[in-house]
Amino acid sequence: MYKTDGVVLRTRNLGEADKIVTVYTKTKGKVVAVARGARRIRNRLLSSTQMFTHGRYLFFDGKTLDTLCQGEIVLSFQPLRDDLDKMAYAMYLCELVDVFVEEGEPSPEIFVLLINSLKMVNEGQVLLALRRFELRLMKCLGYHPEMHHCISCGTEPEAIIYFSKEGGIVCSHCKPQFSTTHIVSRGTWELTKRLLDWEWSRISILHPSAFSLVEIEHCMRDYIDYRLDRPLRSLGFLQTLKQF
Amino acid sequence: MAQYAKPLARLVEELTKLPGIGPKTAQRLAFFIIGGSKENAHSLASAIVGAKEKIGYCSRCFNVTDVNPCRFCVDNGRDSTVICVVEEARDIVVLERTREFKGLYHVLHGAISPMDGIGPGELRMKELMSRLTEEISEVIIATDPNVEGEATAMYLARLIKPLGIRVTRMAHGMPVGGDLEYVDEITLSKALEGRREL
Ligand SMILES: [Zn+2]
Ligand SMILES: [Zn+2]
Repeated sequence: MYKTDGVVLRTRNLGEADKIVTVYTKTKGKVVAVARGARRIRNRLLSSTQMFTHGRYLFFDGKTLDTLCQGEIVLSFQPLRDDLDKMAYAMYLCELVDVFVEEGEPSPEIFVLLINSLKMVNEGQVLLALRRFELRLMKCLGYHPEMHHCISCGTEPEAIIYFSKEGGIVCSHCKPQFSTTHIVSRGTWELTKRLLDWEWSRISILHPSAFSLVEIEHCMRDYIDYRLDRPLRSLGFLQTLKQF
Repeated sequence: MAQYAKPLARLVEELTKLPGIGPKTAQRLAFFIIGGSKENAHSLASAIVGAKEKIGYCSRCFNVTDVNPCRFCVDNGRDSTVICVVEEARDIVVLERTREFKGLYHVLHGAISPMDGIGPGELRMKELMSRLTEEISEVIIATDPNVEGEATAMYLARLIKPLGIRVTRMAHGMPVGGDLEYVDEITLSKALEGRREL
């Protein structure tokens, strides 16, 4: 039996009334557990096992799956479920954690990153939240993008900087050796380094340009896809929402 | 399942595939069927096959039906200016029990669930949109009050509202006969949001 804070990344229906929940917990990392009766209207687990909920959960160890038997809401993140765009963005954050993290690899840093990023999306600072989340998650996972030296020759970049999907910057001499690169403006380069290194308290003073955020989005999209072996489902949904 | 005779093992196996039926229940049902009369067994088997063969989907509302269009779609006594959108055909049965709603239905056959690969294209949304003629004055969205149901409701509202048709969502209420202190905080705040004048 263990009690820990967690965020519900994903839920799936099981049988008539149960749910399988994937929770990213503070002390145990990713946990996949059964929540019995959690789809019944008057069940105590009904609201605390909804996607994005930050709760304090009690789990029982099981042979194959653990059981989530109690949940107390710390932050419901209800606005993330009341706004279609916010919901899609929050799903993207949760899916990234779900696909990159294996069970039994706790990282309190990823937990805090996830909570803070959901809060930022909740408050409407969506694009900055997403870009910072992507960069920091990669850093936490040990996939820190190299932003200081060319990943091929190791020199410091001069006038024009490129970003390769292989996870770092590339100088103009080495660029021809790389298949997919994005040009990165000076401002974006500086912003990326700050998003990677600065703590939360300092992030709020940043007012990045929309242009820089788009540049980072393109770089990180390629880098994340390069690290993953399958497409992200939440991206398809975000794409569908662009028609409006 | 070596302990069963082969035909019995097969019956147990088939029953286990049904929703909500575990191996123990399947075994009990199988022994009940075996223990009953031949007529009862035939009647059950033919009911299953008959239902499967005669029941299809209504080409307008996608409700399950044995006639096409279904009896709701051709009933002149119903208000054809209002469409109530539900996730599954069984939701119609539940709503009909209230005797409150007299309009038409539309069954989506699911709800948006991006993480399970179910997007708007996997549901009967295009078919709903093609039903939204000038005659329609309101679309009531009665999808489930969970994340998937809410996502579906919000998505439909975005599609339908630009047509100038009123889109409403069933209210999130307090359980009738319940006790306030046992209601979870999200239901409670939703109920406060949807409060009405007395
Ligand atoms: Zn170089
Ligand atoms: Zn019909």
